[in-house]
Amino acid sequence: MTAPRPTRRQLLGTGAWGTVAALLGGPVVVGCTGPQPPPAPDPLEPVARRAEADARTAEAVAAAHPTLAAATEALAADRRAHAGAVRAELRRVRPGPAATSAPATPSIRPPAVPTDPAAARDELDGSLRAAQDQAAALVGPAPGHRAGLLASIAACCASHRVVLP
Amino acid sequence: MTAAAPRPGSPDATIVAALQAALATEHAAVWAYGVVAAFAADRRDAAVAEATATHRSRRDATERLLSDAGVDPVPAEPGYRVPVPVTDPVSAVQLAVTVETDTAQVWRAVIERSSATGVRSAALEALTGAAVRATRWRAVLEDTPPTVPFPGRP
Repeated sequence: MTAPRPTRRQLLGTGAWGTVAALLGGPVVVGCTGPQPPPAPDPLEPVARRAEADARTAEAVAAAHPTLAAATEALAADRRAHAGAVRAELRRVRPGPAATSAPATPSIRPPAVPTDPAAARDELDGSLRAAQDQAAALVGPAPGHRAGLLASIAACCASHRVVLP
Repeated sequence: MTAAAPRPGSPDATIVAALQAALATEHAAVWAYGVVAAFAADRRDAAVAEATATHRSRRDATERLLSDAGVDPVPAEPGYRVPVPVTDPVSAVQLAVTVETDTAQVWRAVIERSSATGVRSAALEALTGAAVRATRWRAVLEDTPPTVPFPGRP
């Protein structure tokens, strides 16, 4: 393995992902007598699932509470856009039908929405904070283009929180 | 950004260029918020002051980061051209939206080019702050929606 010079490595930050790749690469080399282990789950998968869940919740809140409709419809659209962008990245890395989980289907029951608008609003705020934290935590070790995508998702979730009525 | 990385011997040119672009944009932001302050409605004073202080401290931290890496930080320009003439409170807030949009872009570019932990976390904080302020300013303008799905994406 030819390691880059430390200074360059530090600034480019290939360290963490390089290590993961090396670990994942290990069994392929030594495990030629047995079946190949399934690939490790992509850390972006939960980001896509949370974005899809948030979009469904925001749509349900928009339908149930007219006072929250404008903000939550915009939120639903943005979280759908996040899910789409993350799914595209997942497909890019692992093409093929097995690479992605099934997208949300209409048969999924709409999420339960609190009857009190203030409670519904607070629940969305909590979801957005969790989504921001989830994306932000993955920025550090991610390769460049992924880090940019995750950072934008975190920033978008933060900005929705300040305009929830 | 205050926790500067140990002095690198030869910082990567792409990362230095991204940080210099971010610094140049922060210089411009500090200048532009002076124009915003002059024309914005009085009730925006606190938000304008807070934004100005944030950009000033981000500018100073970026200068320090570059200096610590042995790079000469780009200086501020003597003056800047605003994209639209600022003549009243509405155009002042429009300029603030432009400033924050530009700022978000340069910090996302830094995130994409450097994964040094300190640089990335500071850049994420800068991007998030810019996205939040842009959203607040768009809400003042009653833009619908006041949010964008991917702040900082060119």
